Amino acid sequence: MSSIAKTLVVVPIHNEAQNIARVIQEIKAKASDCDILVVNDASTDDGPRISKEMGIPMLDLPINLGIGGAVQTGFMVARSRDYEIVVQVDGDGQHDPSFIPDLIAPIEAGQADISIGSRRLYSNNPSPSVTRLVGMRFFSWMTSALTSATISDCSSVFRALNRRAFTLFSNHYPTDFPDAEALIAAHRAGLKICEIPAKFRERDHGKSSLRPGRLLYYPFKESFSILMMLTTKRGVTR
Amino acid sequence: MSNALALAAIAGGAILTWVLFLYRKGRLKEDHALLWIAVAVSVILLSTWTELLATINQVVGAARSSDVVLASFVAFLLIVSIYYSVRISGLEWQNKKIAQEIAIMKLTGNSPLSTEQRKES
Repeated sequence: MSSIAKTLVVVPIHNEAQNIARVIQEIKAKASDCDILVVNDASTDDGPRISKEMGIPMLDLPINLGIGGAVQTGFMVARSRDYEIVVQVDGDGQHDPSFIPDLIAPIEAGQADISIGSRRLYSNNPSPSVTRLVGMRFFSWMTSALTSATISDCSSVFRALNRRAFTLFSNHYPTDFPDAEALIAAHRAGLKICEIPAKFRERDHGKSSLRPGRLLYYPFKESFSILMMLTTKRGVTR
Repeated sequence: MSNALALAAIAGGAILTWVLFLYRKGRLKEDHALLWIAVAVSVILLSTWTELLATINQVVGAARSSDVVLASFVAFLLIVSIYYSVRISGLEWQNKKIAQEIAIMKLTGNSPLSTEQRKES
């Protein structure tokens, strides 16, 4: 941990005991000048204990809020503790922390407010399932159309955000599926979005939160949220 | 009064009694109790006030008077359901906010991440 780190890496976990140690070790090795904050989204396994034993500060949510609520709590901390940049890295080990410097670079250069690590811009990433690929492409197309930016992987939450972006999200952030909706809200608030190629890995352990039932529900909920957001000023605080 | 209307009036009375019992036991708040009392009284009124039912029946053109009572009851339930969906959504937001605040408060107590500590280090 650096003397005055300006970047906070937020790692949301929910039952990631088998992955979290490796994720933290990799972040420490590849982004040593960043602070790390684990957000325990009411895990029932040993993940929180492992994080604590590694000396990592941890937000302990008393109830399960879902990925959006967990990450938003990290944004709230970053805002109150004067961090300049937040990087979101999933606790399941799918995001490769060696790409954190690449993610931060466009933010530090002032080229973007939000930088997304895109699995589609990186050539050697594992292929997602067909249903997931269809959903990813549909929402990426929708997000691109609504933000006038070219977004190839709107479902990636491997993101870096500057203070303006995470302050916006600390006030309003979707709870269940924050992927595309958050980007459109950011665009409506006048934030610039860019993508960089990033390596994604298969999960070594555990299961995705997107189980078959939720995978079916996801497109309807996401489409509804986006359409409703376009008819209101919700989520936009310039 | 037909059997259907008598049954509806009894059901309305039963709901009213049950709601008052729950309120007296402190298991139902005033605003929730009042909502259900309004539903129960409406059903009792429609079932027993023959002229009112006949007028509504003529306006909507229902085949039987009991259909009006049943349709009204379903409409009341839909309105109550939407009302409770709104209340539950509000409570979910409050729940989320409280959980986030608790987590942040616990972090403030023993974390090395406080602004002062970071600046001093």
